Amino acid sequence: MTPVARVRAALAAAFAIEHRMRTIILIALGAPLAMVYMIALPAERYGAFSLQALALLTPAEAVAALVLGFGTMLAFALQAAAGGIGRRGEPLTLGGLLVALAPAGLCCTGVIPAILAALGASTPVLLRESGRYASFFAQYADLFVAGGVALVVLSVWLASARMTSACTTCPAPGVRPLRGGITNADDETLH
Amino acid sequence: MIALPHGRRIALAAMIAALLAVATAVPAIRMHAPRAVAAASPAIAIGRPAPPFAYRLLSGGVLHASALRGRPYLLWAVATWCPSCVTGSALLARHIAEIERAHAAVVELELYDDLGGSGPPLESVRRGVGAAAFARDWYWGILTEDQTAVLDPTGTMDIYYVVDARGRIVAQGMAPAAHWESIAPLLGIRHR
Repeated sequence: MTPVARVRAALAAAFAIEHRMRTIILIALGAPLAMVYMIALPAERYGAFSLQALALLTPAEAVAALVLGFGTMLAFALQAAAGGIGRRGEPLTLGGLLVALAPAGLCCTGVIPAILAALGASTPVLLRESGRYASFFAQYADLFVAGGVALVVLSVWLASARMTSACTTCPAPGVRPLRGGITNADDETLH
Repeated sequence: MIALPHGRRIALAAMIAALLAVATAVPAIRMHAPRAVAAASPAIAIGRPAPPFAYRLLSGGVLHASALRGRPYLLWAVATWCPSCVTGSALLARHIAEIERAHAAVVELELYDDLGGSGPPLESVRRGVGAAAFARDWYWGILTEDQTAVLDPTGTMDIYYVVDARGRIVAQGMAPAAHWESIAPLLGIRHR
């Protein structure tokens, strides 16, 4: 089974008509999370976590925010459908969310100076070093966001793979699932 | 409905709580930073006089803080690699006409050695902002190490102070362009 076919099969099984609540949860939680990222990603340039940061949102950031928001909830839904939350996959999903937030959280805030100060750095050291570390996140901000998106996409793929390997009644793409885990393909073979 | 065992429901709730905590931590830390600066450098707290520095300007001259007495001004310490500083400059440019009408001023100063980060020269940031950045009342300069240590002892970038016409600090914070609505009245700008 190709990776795309595997994801399609997992989605078909996880979001079959009898599991419509999963779709509702996916949208109800994915949309606000995507909105949080639509504000957080340009907040690095705007300087504040505010709705006004949306004015600086680029198309690439909008796509990344949608993937991070809905992809995360999709991964959680697939992980739940595949046997439950709390196993492998979640650290990857959460890691992706945090990696994408790193530039906004660490670049131009007081976090890095606060960490250096907590480590005992004096004012002259802070003035020489805080920019060295903070500018790293500014310089590679796009890579951090891309890395976060990649981790979330990977977690969706892993959850799909886990679900399809664990599921013996998953329908193939294009095969309509029926109640009781029987597909219309099974139905035809029975006759 | 997703049926999860009790322990896993708790795990999921904990993960969502962790995410919300991260999402709220960033603005909270931003709000905390100016207070940390005030704690590290009590001489530059709100209500105190602005330090009587002479700032080295990009134009080659020197701006004495005393020369600004009688006018409110925004004293802003930036790093040129800092995205919110660069974007903030472009956003502030939209308000320079009203700043001039109010006889206020902006003093934008690069932190000493860009706090150790590697950014472009401040002059290229200024040129990137456009013609508004060359307005008469927008001063661009570079802080010495001693001045940086007083204005920004915690090594945080994008720090600002609002100084009133009597030379006293009346507000401080981070990212002035994002807080323009609260800064404008302090500079004597009335909203239409």
